[in-house]
Amino acid sequence: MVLEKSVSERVVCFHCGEDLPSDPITFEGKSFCCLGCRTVYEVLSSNNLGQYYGINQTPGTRQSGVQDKDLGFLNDPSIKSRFIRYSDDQMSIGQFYIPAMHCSSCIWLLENLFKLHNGIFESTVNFGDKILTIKFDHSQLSLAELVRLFRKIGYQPNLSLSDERTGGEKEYSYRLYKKLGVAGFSFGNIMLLSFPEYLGFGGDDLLLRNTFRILIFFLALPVLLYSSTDYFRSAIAAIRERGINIDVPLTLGIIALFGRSTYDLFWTSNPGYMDSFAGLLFFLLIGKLFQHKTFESLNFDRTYQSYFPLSVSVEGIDEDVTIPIGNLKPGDTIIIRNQEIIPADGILTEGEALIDYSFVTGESSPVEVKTGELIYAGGRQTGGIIKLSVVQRTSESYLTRLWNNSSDAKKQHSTYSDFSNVVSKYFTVLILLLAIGASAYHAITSFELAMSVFTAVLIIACPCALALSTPFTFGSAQRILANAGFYVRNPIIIETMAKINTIVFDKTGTLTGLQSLEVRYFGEELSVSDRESFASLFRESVHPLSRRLYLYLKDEITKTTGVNKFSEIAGFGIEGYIDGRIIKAGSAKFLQRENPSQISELVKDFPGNKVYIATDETVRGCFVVSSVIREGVKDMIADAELTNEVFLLSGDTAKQDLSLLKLFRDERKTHFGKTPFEKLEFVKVLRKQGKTVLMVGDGLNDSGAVGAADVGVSVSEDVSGFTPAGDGILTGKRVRDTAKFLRFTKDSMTIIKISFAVSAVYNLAGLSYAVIGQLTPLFAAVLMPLSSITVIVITSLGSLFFARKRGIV
Amino acid sequence: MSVIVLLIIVSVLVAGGFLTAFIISVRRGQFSDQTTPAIRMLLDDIKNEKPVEKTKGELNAR
Repeated sequence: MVLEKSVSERVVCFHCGEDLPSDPITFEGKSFCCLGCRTVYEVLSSNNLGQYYGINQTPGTRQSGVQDKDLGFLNDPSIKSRFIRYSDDQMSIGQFYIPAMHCSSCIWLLENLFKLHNGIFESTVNFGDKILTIKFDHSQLSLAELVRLFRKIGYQPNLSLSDERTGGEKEYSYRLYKKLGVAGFSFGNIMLLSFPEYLGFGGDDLLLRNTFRILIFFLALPVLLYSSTDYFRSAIAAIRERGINIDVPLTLGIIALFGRSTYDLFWTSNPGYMDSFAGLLFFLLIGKLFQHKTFESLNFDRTYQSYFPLSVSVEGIDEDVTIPIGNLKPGDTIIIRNQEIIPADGILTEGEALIDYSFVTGESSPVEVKTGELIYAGGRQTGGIIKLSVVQRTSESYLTRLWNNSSDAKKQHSTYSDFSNVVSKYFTVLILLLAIGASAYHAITSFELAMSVFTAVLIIACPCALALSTPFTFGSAQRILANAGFYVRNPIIIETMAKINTIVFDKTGTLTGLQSLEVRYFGEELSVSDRESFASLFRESVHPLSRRLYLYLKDEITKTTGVNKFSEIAGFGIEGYIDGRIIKAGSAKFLQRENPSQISELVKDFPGNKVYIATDETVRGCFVVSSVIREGVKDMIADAELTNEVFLLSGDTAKQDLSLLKLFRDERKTHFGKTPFEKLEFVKVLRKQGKTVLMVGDGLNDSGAVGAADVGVSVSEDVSGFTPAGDGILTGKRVRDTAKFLRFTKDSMTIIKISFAVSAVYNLAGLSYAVIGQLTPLFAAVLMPLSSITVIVITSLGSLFFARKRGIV
Repeated sequence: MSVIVLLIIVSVLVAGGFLTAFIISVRRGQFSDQTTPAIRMLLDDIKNEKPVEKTKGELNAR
């Protein structure tokens, strides 16, 4: 109750739930944080879709900053085909990836789109994948209009290039379901049909017995021919490469079970082990399915293309046109607006460029570029409109080459756990020796007994429990980590993580958050009236830096005054008259005439955005707004240093960041001013020294190093947003738990060892019966599921226990 | 007793029918989305206020 009250008392935007600014927009008695949010509300309520706000409180996402771009390129057939799955003369079916989808209100609204426009027939959401499938009439509604409609209601689809999902993973899990269905069906039926014989009924009624046996055989056949094919294939592949994986002893067990049971069914009075056979496959496939957890809405294999926009404006002879970036040629003049990404290397021909390369190089201060200088693809323009003359196609740009370089260094992860492979190697040899030895001993008395003992040993030793412990442990660990905000690409990576002894962190965006900003002031002391003037000036602007600085000054003043002739020059600064003085704030260039060189010398070594301030043409000082180190990172690094070597690699040139250096025990382990290629080399050298390296980075500048490390993790504030390819994606606010996650993966290996020991006990018990020729089908039928279930329980509970112990859940 | 043979065969066939149904449902993608239907059923239907010609259009489309 208390919680509810405090929520309702806080005044937030009715649409998105963000805190309201000092001057909220009100509409129909509701408050909104920005015009965008209000517009969405207006559209929805006027179309009878107000229920959207009734299902969940503040279901929307923040709309300010969403840009309206020309969507004309969506008429290009090659781009159109990326989104249109089917089309005939009356309707089209489109599919869109919508990252903003996050709650039941979203589902409700997106499935009621037909109320918004007559041209929409129906729309279906796949919430897990964040995919919207929509059937619409393309004569009433073009693709561009449809996308515009999505934007209008605040659900911007992802329009970047090559973010296509292959669907191969899905195909695989469909096959697994089918195989599991067949195995389960046969397992259940065979068990029922075997029961009478186990209990000693019907043995004298030959018709009944034979019918049952024939049925059992034909029920077991599809299990062998369909459900178990993966194991045969994998075992044969392993033997061809002269290796042994866990599937080799499994396959031996499968063959022995099926062969021996077929013989028993038709030529002896024994009922055979067909129920154990079907049960084995049933449990094994459950393990496979459990391990095959994929995060459909995440993409671990992004290419550089998904970072770029789909299209760019190009200056034409008569008018500007929007073309797909794949069609850009050297010599084209492209037009880049504020906050847009530069899609190809180009020379600045017009406009004032202030390029934010933080994602590309890790340098956190924006770089000023003069006319005639080269701008690299991947930078983001902050400021007014600029024009570039393209010198290289996107696919040949500096950034793209970096990306391709890192994919060369990509290592192959096997799909099998190393540990279980080593164990199964010894295991297989041991079992074969035991089987041959035991049958040789019995061969003296009877050949038949010898064969029966040989197969019995292979059957009972079939390492079902062994094969289940890895998928179940890694599968549970993967789920637990995902709940904690750390998504690993596949479960086997957890084993590699357990071996990590060296951690390399990137700085910008990884150890420092991009959300919380710290303000430092350099320059002459400001009087109270100065502070009031600057606060009043900043209050007028909606620029994020102005808002942050207003908050910074707000606490020290009592009142703000009105500003006359306020003007804002995008990317440069703001100015206005207060109490007869000109007050200016902005970049060094904006205040150029006043020559701020003395102060710029002072702040040169500090990373971050610099805002110079001036009154009446005199520069008074400079605010440095920089990102702060994430909460809890200090303790995490101290914790990680206990068992690992920890390095810092930063693309930032500024060395003055004392707060950061203090985090590390050894200053020599921190490296600044590293280029992306140097980072990549650094990781490669560490690996050559025999270290197992975990690289945690975020931007494109880290993509090489992330790709080259044993385990590469991309940090992202929004996991469905853009991240470089890697083995895992970590949510920004859980960076502080990195050390805990590593400990937990080591615990997972302990769990596997324990469950291996337990299954060995079961195997030994069974073997002691098998070698003396006393293995009955009933005994096998009870032992096999029992050992499997024990292992499943141990691994699942064990994972939960250790997750609690490490404080992950 | 021999009637049991018949009954068993029939029961296996019935179970096989369910297996087939399961396989068909997997093929048609019923397992591709396991989250949305669970949420969707909790949402109330709103009154369908679609204009008439739209319904026609939909009929034509099919």
